[in-house]
Amino acid sequence: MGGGTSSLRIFRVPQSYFLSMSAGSWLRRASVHWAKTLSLPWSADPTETESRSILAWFAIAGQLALFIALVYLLRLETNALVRVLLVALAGWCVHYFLPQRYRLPFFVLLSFAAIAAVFANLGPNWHHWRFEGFIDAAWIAAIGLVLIGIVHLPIAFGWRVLALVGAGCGLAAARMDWIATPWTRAVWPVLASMFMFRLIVYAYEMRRDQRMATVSERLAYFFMLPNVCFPLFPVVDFRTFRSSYYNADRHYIYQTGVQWMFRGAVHLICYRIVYQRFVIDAADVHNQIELLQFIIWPFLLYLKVSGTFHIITGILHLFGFNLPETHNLYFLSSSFTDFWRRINIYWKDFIMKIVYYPLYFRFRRWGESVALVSATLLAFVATWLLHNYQWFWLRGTWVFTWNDFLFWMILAVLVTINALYEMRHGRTRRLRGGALSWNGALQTAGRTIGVFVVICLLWSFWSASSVPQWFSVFDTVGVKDPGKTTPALVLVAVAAIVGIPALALARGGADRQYSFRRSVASVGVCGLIAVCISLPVVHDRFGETVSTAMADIRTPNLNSRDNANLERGYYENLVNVGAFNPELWIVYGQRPPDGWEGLNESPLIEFTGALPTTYLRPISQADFKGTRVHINRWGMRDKDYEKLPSPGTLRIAIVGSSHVFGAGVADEETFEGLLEQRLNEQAADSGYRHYDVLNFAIGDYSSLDILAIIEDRVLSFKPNYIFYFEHSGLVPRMIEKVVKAIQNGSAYRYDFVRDIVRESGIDTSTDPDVLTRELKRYEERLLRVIYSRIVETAKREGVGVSWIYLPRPDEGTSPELERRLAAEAGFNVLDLSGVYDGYDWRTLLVAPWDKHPNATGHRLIAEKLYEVLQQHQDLIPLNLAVAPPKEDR
Amino acid sequence: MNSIQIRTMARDFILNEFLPGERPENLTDSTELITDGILDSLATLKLVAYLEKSCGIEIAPDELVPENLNSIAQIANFVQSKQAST
Repeated sequence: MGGGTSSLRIFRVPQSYFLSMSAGSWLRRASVHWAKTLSLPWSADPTETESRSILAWFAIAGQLALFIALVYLLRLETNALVRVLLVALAGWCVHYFLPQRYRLPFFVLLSFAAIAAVFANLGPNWHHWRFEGFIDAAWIAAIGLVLIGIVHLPIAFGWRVLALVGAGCGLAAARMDWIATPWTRAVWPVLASMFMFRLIVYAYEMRRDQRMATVSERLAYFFMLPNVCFPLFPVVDFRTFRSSYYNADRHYIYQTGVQWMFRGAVHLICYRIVYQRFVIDAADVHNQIELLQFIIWPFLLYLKVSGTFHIITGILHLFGFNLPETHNLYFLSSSFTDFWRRINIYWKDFIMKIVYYPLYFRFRRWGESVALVSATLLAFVATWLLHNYQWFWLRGTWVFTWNDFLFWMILAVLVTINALYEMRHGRTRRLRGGALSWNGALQTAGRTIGVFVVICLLWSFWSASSVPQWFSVFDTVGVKDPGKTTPALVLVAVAAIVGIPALALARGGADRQYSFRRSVASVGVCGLIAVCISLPVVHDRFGETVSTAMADIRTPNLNSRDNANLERGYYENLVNVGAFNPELWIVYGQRPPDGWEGLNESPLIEFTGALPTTYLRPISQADFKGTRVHINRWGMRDKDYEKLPSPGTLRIAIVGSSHVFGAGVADEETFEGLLEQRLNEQAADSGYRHYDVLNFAIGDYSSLDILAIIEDRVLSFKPNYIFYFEHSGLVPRMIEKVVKAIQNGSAYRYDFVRDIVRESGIDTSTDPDVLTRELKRYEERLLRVIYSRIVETAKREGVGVSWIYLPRPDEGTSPELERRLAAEAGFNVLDLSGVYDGYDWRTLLVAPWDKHPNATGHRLIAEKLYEVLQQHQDLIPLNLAVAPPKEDR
Repeated sequence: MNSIQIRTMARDFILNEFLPGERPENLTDSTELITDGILDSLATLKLVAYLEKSCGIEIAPDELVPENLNSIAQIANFVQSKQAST
């Protein structure tokens, strides 16, 4: 024994050492080994054989601290995870020194503390604690205890299952808002992820009447620590959860957990880069390179799931649960059955246990092949149904789509054929550390590339918005990229990225020795480097490329494609929104079910069946996005005006979409109203009697609608100026509106639309997604013509017309195409870039799930707009007084 | 059938069916069959059919768990306990 000083020596434990003995004998030998080499100046609990080391404690705690810093700096997950990690770190530091008999109860307490910590502070503001959060946390605990209690009712098992189904139906009714609940909506995803599958596993185990689990084991299983911040949670098996608890040396378990957490972080970083840089919409696929990109990105987004699952199991390792991996090199699957075994292993095990094996045993009297085919196909049907069941509990809606069903059925057929082949011809298996011959390894690598390609195709099909849309992208098979990149080069690169690791994996290697010190050193050094690079003061020194990449990784919000789609309400009609996109799922997961529909679903809107597609209903009012909206007699969200301006009045008409309309802010808070107020405050010095600012903006408007409303309505109010507001990402909306207008015939009021339809020869009755893709190549021409038409129309009436760039609070890129076309068309181009400088954009949103600017945002816009107008009096002579400094106001 | 006979029988079956060409001494009584991917679902079902036929036992689906089948030693113990119970 080390006597008076703590010591940490090199531990070289071969993996075969862990494998060549039973868990019991291993633990005994390892304990003796560690007891000799890791020791504290005080003696351990005499009833336990485990050793402790202050150095090992520091090593693991240090790595954990680095991990938390990395998650925080890169914003890899929500604040809730950071909070849970802090609870875990503090808890682990104590847990390490506890006698083993106290560790599980302590873990349970820590798990409940994490639930309370997360629910008490759900928002981005760390200082805003919510007492209601504690009530939600208490409800989770109470409902959970009732559900667990039902499994243990002293009645026949069948009746208990029936009681559980009854309780589930009651909760489902509440989930669908048929029954009012005293808890908030935030409770549902957490409660669901804790109980929707684990109750099934738990009841299955209880039926087998195995050794009675302790209360701590049961509570730990259902309320396990990291669950509260991960609604998508691996289906941990109850038997494995119990049997893996401290079944190996604890320092080995802890260090494995830390390694897996860092591995999870790497997955999440890769996911962020893919999400921000490589996601491409079907409508934007025009050549072979983009086609490849479109096929590959959806599968790569799965990195988010594997990353979070690694972090989850890593955290559980810290508290002694030596659980197996949830994913194992799934990009390197060499067959479809191999893919099923490597991706989401816990799910596979769950389905095998609950569905596949029972069905196979039932069917095997009809022969092995019949049993195999039937059980495999039914296991995939169960997977499809259970995925929908999962989404119901997490989102409150069903997500049945054709894509989803076809995806699972195609995968089922592929796996079944593969399994039949393996049953008849066998499969090459190797013992750990074994290697294939070069010939065998090359064949395996080739198969791996093939499986990767097929899975990518299948995944892109799964995530496409419609079946015709997915097929339509293959029109570009023969279209070459205008740049230097050749598809063959990209294909070779992809084959190499998948094939070379697959080859290395197949060739195998020597059984590497596990070394605690080496593992700590490698994880610690890599973690430290990652944390340092994550600091802006460091990565900014590495040039623009690194800086931009880090900005992508550090951006925990929607990419430009999703933002644009979200804003135009594209996702409102998709039942499976978020199923393939965790970022969208977060956004939609927080949104209340009622009172946040799009403007087109509100009574404020009347549809015209022509262009513009909608008008605001005159003299109407309604609640919209949390505030009361009033519409004047002219169909404007504004105060009342005479149709013609009074003498001496300077009149400005504002056109745009939801940001200008003022979605989510009160009538008196819109920047249009604030600007008008501001202009009139200085009217006495301006030479004008009065300024009118008329708000013709309507949510969901595109440039085509704006052209139509200017022609049909705005000009009849005799404005002196028209201000046209635009932000980035509105072009897809324009194309979508043009498609709708072509299909209902209203777009033919414009000769330029007729020309494009005639020239392109497009079939206007085809699927809207397909038509959108085809019209995409005309977007620049369409926008140019629309802008020119607006300018010509305005100038013909003697009205000055300005195009003003108004960024969204979270906008990262400015609309260069739109800006250039606006200038070419003859607009006065003004720019409100920097309007939100000095503010955290998240504090300027109407709600986390709604990216429109709030009242503060509108105030900033009004101030900036006044300043910009004042600076450009040469272009727009409004006779404005010099803007006083902001602090004076 | 004693434990040694069951182990020999199980080892031979696994080597012939799933690990052809593998040196027998590499497959020890404690080699982790499920954890190391040797016994996947298909192999498990084949092994179960073989054990049922050779040892005259009946195995239930909920007995296909690692603690019964993860190593040759565990297989032998499991088969012996089944034989004893029948």
